[in-house]
Amino acid sequence: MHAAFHYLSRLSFQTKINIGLALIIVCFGLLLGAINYAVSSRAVLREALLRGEVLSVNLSARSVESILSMNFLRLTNLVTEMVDRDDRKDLVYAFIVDRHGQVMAHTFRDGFPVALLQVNQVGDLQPFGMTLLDTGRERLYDFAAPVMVGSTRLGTVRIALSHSTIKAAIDRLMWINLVATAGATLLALIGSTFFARTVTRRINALRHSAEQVVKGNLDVQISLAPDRSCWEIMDCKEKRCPAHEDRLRRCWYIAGTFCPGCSSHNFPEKLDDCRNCPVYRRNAGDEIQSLAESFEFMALTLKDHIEELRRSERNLARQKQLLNTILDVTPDMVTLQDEELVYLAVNKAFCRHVGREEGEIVGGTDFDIFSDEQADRNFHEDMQILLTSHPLSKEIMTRGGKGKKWHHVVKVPVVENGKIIGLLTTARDITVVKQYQEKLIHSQKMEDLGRLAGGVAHEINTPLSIILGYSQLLLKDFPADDPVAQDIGIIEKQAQVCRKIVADLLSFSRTTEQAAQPMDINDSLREVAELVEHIFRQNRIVINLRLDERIPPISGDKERLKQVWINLYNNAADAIGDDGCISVTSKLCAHRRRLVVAVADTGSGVAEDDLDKIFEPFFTTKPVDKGTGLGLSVTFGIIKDHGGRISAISPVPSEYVDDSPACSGDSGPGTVFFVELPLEGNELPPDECIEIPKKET
Amino acid sequence: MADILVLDDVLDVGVMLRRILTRKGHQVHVFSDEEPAFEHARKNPVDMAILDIKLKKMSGVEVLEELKKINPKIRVMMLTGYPTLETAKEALQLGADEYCVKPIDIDELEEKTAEILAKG
Repeated sequence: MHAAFHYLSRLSFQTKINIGLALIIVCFGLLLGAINYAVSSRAVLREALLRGEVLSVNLSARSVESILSMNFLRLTNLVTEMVDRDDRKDLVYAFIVDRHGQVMAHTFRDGFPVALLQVNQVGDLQPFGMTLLDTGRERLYDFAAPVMVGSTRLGTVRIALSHSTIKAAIDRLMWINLVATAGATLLALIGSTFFARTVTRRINALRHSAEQVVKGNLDVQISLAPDRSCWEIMDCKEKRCPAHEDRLRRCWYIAGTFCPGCSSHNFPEKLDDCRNCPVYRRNAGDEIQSLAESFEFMALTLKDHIEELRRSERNLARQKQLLNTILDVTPDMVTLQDEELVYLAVNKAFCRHVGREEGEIVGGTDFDIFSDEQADRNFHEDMQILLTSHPLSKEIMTRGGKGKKWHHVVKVPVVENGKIIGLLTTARDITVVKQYQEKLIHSQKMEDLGRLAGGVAHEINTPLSIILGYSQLLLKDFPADDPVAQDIGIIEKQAQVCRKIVADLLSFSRTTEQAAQPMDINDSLREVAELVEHIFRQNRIVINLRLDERIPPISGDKERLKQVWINLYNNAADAIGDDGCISVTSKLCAHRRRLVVAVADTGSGVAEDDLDKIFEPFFTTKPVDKGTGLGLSVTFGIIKDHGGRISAISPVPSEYVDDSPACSGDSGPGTVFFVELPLEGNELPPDECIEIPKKET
Repeated sequence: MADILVLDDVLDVGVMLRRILTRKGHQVHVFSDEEPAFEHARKNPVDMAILDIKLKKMSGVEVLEELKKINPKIRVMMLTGYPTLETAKEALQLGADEYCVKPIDIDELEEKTAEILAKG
């Protein structure tokens, strides 16, 4: 039963309609046929019985005279004629018996069956009697009518009608009924098939469209375009109306139509105003048509929504991309942590700093990235910010493989709806700024020191000159071999040392006075080189000049700049000791706004840590009595007065190594001093000079 | 021998110069204030003056100018612990014969003095 129901439910809609209609027609046909059969068979039987009655009564009436006259022949003719002439062939026999029960005439060809006389006795007063006989071969309706004259009974007539003949008539009726029912069913099936196909075709179209929608194709068109659209019916000239020339959709699905009767609502509220509109009355279809149109409208709306969503999605993706690009391009390290301090987002700079992939960091905490000690420190600091919601700004110094690094760290709590939901940390590399800061502090220190030194030097100068003067005076009063003269000689000598120091200090501190006049840097370099050459030659030190003759004259104090070159040459020679060469290069910088003098030696070089200190007063690597340590400070002061800058690099970079034969051979790493001087004005141009190699950091 | 005027705000410097130059047979008068020095210059025929640049009230250059007014023939040596290009130029323009820097060697002082006196 269940299987049958399941099978039925799986049948196509068209088949179901067909089967349903056929079943209804067959049932009704059979019911009607049965009723019809019952009614008509009864009528046929009644008519047959009535005929039998009429025939028997009629025979009784016609046989009176022959019985009275005892005319057997006539009687025989009577019954024979009756049976033979029976056009319906249903009269089986007829016979007449007298009042004693003697057969007077009969139609039996094979002899009279005597047993018949015993059945179907009829009374005198009865018009007739009827009995259903079963002879074994067939069933017979036996009619008996008394032959009466007045109240005297002459005898009895008997006739029999065949039951099978009557039944044949009834059966014929039944067949006609059946054929009619079958014909009607067939016609109904043809009709229903046609009807079902019309309905199911449209439903199938809807189903197909629904499948298309599910597959993602939202451009479905099921309903047919109306033969006359709204602008044709209403004779509308509003070409700006959104419904104008839109042959695919009905106007009641389109929002913002211009018709005076149209409401501003959207479908389906709009439909309330359309019920009485002639356009609606003409173009609205049946339920399936409405369903199809609604379906199309739904697909269209869905399409619009989906397109809107896709646009938003694209927009979002672009925004995300943009944000990622910004975060990744910025050299600052940026991280976002949630309230549990789990990393939500990090940028490339941060990943580079910690040396991990983004995927490794996101989802973890500081304990997964940093050392336990560092992570613990961070954790307490971060929790403090999250609890107090006070942002933090600090500068931290780290020592790594690349030396000292300074970072400016800003940690800000992220607040949403008055609740702290995370921590945004940015860290900027301010190493360069710090270096400049240190340089600035250093130069400030030098300036202060210069001022102090200058003051001290001036104060000492006068007593010193008196000491020196008197000691020289006394020296003249004693003979040279006198021990007192020797003692005073020592005082004089040491006073001279002091005098030198004071003179150097004064040079170092002097910042204002200079006799600026046009001068040729190359000339002054050459002049000084010639001056010291013969002294250096004693220690087999060679000076190689590689001067750029394009350098224009600059404004400067020739004498003081010469002192600078003397200091630098002397320093170089001291660094070399014996055997080596000093190479002096002058160059114009690329922008032709400054010049560079490089003095490179092949000496012992300067230690990395000492490079920053060599320009400080009294710093020296020379033995105690060999120098005051003021030479480079004085040089520094003079260069500064000229608006220039002096720096040193050790060992000498390859492009400044002199390859002349005198310089080859065993030599130290060497040191190169760069003196930058502005060609015009008293300040170096802001652009860097690419001719000066950067210190390797 | 010559009559020399020494003006220096530090008296000891003047005394020392007097010791040095007296040995060479010169008449040396030492002053640490400007007015007495002018007074001396007006009353006496001074051959030469040795002036410090930095004095108590005036600058050595101003003193030089004043002395030249008193005695245009006077020879002047500027001796200073604060040598600047401006004062040097100014002093030489006003007729100073020498511009020396402290501390100065005795020999140099004697030599220069002799040179200056030899001019006159």
